Amino acid sequence: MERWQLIGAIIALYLAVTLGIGLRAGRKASKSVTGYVAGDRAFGLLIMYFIFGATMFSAFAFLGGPGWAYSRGAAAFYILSYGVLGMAPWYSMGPRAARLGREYGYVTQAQLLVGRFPSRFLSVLMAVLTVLAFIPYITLQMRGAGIVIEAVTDGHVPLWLGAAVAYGIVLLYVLTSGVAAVGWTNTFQGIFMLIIAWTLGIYLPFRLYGGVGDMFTRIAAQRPELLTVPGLAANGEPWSWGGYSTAILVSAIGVAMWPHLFMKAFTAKNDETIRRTVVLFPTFQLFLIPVFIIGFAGVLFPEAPPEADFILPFMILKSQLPAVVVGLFCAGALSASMSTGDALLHAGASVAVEDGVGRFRTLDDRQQRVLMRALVVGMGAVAYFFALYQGVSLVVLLLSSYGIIAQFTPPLVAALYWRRATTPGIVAGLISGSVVTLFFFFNSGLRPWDLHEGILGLMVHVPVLLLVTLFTRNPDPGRAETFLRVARTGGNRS
Amino acid sequence: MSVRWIRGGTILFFLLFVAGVTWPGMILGNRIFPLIFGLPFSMAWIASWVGLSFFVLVILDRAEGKGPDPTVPGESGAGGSGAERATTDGEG
Repeated sequence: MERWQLIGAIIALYLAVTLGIGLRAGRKASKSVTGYVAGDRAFGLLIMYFIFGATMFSAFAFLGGPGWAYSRGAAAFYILSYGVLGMAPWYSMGPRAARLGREYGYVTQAQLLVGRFPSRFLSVLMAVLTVLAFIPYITLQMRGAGIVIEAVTDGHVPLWLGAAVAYGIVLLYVLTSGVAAVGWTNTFQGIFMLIIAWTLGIYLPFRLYGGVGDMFTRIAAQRPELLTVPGLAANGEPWSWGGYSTAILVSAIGVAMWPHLFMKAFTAKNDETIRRTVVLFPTFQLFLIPVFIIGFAGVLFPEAPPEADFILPFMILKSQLPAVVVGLFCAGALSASMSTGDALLHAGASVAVEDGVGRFRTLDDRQQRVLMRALVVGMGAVAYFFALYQGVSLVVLLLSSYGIIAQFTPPLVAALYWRRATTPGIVAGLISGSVVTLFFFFNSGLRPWDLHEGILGLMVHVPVLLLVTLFTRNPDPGRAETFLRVARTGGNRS
Repeated sequence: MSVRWIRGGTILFFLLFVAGVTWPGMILGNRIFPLIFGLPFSMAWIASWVGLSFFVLVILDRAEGKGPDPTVPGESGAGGSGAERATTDGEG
């Protein structure tokens, strides 16, 4: 057996196990929208921990993380900084959202928001923004999977085939088992990612440079600019403090608002599960340390990869590691890609049906599930098309979508905590914040102190929300009262 | 210490966390040497905030977990928590 065949066999084994877990997962789920989208609200701590961990750390963390550390040095530390900051408020918000979900039957973020601020426009706006933000995100995951498979099989399995096989499997289990498959495969993939990252992160520096400390001492002598914040910008010049700091802020504010993460509040078995997930989250986050170490190991590596993002597969192939190690690494990278891609496909289709189509046509439970499955396939096909014929613009689109997603935070905080907030205030804030974000995204030269466009959007968004709210009246104060009581205490029935 | 104090302390900790990893607070930890467990000081500084937040959240969770909050009558999770706790412990 040739080397690439052995590696391919390990990957095939990994994919088969993932598929098996995914197909098995749905057997107990009920045949209903709540079952398909919210897992019958029955997920325990183990599965929630890995859903949040594995979903948040995508192909970007596994390939882009080392790529950033390699090419931009300490700039990558912003990724280590924001995750926990973004998750901590969930200790309070998550259980509130979950109680409202149980009481009113919500399965998406927009349903919760519209439950408090009745507006079809708001619902459809969120559905459109979600799908627009998801397509480039899914595309990048697919490309990540295809690139890794192509690289480690010496091109015997080209990108189009690798991406098709990996995401064909994702489609199979998401179509069959819905969120239950996402949850259980993420658990398997999350464990895999953690083991591979920590093993390689410690093994590579020892094998190549004699130890982690020795490696950093040598980098400090040769490229000291890489080891202090804010590191380098994409063009190799020093990055600005304003850019670095606001990248942390906008990511921390936005990360839990990504619909595929927010919606998982509705899948938790109980409040305690959500709280414990938040408490344990920092332990997952620390897996970025070995990921960065791997990237820094590339700095001293004698050869350079064609693109910074390929540093990890490049080093692994050039270091003459045993084929089994290469195969396992590849499975780890695929885990990172697929565990995010499946959640995105599933959540995107669910949101499009529940908050988009469902607002114009009344669909029964079965029709909703059929339509969701059709849209999972449709979104997958669109993303696959872009993955094969992609320009640079997709990465750019993804970065800009973070600024937009961060605009979901003020409305949801207001919905969960602020009795006085009114629908016009929420809609005006969301529109003005999004417009400002897009304006500074397309005119990035105008940004003061290199601040992130999403932060500039929020600087307009929040005052507009407050002002318009103060000048408008809530037509139904009783509704807000009841809504917030349910958020605090879990409804009348309990 | 009452739950309210611990909640306040937790919020304060996370505000310090934000200040400590962005400008200008990050300047305090922004050095290469001494290496901590082989890592540059700047990276260890950020990782310490992440690690510390785990302990802060554990303390908060312990405090919140001492029976239903008096300000939140009928806090959910109280019902059937014995069985639930058994499963979560098994998984953890």
